[in-house]
Amino acid sequence: MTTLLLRRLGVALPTLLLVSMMVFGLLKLLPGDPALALAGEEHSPEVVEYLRQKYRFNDPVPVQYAIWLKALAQGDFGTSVRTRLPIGKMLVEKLPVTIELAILSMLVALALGLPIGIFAALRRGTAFDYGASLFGLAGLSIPHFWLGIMLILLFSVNLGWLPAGGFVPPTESIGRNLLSMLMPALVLGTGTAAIMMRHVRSAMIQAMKQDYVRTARAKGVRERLIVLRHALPNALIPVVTLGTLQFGELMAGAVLTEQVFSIPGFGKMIVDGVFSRDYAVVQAVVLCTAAVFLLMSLIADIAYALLNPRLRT
Amino acid sequence: MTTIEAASVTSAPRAPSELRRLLHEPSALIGGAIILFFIALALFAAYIAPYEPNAPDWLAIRAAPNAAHWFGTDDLGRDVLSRVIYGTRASLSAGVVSVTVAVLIGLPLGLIAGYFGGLADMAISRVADALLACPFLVLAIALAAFLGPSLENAMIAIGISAMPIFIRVARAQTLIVATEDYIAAARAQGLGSFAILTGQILPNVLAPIVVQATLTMAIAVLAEASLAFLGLGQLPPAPSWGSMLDVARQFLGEAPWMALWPGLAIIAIVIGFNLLGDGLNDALNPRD
Repeated sequence: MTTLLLRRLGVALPTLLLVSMMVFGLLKLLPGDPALALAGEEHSPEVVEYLRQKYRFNDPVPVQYAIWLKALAQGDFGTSVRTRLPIGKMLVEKLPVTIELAILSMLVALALGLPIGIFAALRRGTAFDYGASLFGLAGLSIPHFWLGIMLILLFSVNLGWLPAGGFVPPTESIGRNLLSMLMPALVLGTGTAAIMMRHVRSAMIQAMKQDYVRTARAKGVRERLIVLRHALPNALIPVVTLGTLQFGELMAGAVLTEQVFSIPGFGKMIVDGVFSRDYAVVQAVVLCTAAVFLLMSLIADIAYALLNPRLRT
Repeated sequence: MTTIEAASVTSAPRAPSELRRLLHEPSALIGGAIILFFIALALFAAYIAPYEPNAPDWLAIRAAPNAAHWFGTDDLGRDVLSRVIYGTRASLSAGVVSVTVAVLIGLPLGLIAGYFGGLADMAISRVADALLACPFLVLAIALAAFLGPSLENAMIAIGISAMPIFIRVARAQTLIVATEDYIAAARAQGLGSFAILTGQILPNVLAPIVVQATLTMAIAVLAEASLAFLGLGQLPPAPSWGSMLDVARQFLGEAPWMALWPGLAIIAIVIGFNLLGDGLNDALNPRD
């Protein structure tokens, strides 16, 4: 297991370093003087000169990158030109909100994707199976932000049951927090549920064809027990990996959902950063999202190896 | 259908039998018909749309669907149906151009990585890994933000974000094809690497690339709509489904039809590309 972990880290860390180079390189896409762009529209010559000195824009690019990376390693992501706050502090504030949204969305995805996938596999070729396939296709094709708008129209504008947007911190009220996260989690979770359903269905179909299922049937074991004790645990192994990887995707998918529901998380932070030309914020969010994504891939690999002993070496 | 599934097409395409199989795939037929419908809308928008897409009618602001305006009008009195029809152009061109950018960069890099191996493979694969580590939409938003908001930049941003998918598919396919006997025979005949790559390997790698390109168009159309919704794609007043939805959410209570039709159009075209991609995969790879 240690060898596997070291091998995977040996891939993940250089990848993260390459991502940091690309994220740093984004600044070079800016037309004109990057110090002017970083300073924003209302800049004074002093601010521009300060930024030029701070980021050493007159130095060669590799030197600039090394300085930037050294600051990152010390947790210094720079200062937001919009809020004037340290970006590291903003990340620490926003990340838990997005993680909460991702966790709730994953619960929605599991609650919908697992049972629909299992029953679609067990009732292959029936109306339920076709309905499940339609659900899968719809889940992959409906834009999150449109589904969010439609849910707001139904549950907030027409029925008045749920708040149209905003976020209540769990420290203030757990009930109101969950209420404010219900629609966003449904919106974000439905797409993941569709992906999960398709994988669970195909994994269950494969599992039900295996010799151990035939043996159990020959021994007279009841069908329900065959499904629950033999087929399902084996079918769920790839789903654990998928779920872990999808968690990283949910963090990214939160960008639009947070925008629609005005949730002050990671996604809204990058969008606000884009519109206030707060490029250091955009860089920090991209880098952190990639780091979370790589971490989830690492966890997925380890989880898969733990569940499948043949892959432990 | 995932990248890996799409990448599992291994046989060289033989046009007549594959075309026959494609014509017997219901999902490909339905998907193809949907896409042809939208292509016709985009091409003949000027003849089909009942009104100019940007022409305001100050006497019919946020008018509900009626005989004169089948899909209603928006906050400036513009005909929603006409804007949905013209908006097809932005979505389709975003899908086609961004996927073309992704294929034109990703396919040669994947071929080189798979054929030459060694340092080239390591360098190209690591870059692909790094790009894949940044979630698709986050990378597209960041690139579009740094390039500046416009439909052209959105297409470039989506194309670059989608490129690593094609590097992976082309590389995996090249690794399989390069071990075939006819490649060894071509080498024995003294053919150079460029001739083998373009004459022998490329034709046998194209089938999964075509499947992947079709499926990626669905992702690209969604991404363009997302970027336009955030104000990073097609800029107003030019019609785009994503930017129409952005405006519509401010008038949900008064004019819900403004949000309904562009959303349904996005869903229809994305379903079309997904069905066509699945059908193409089944037709080109019947063993799956």
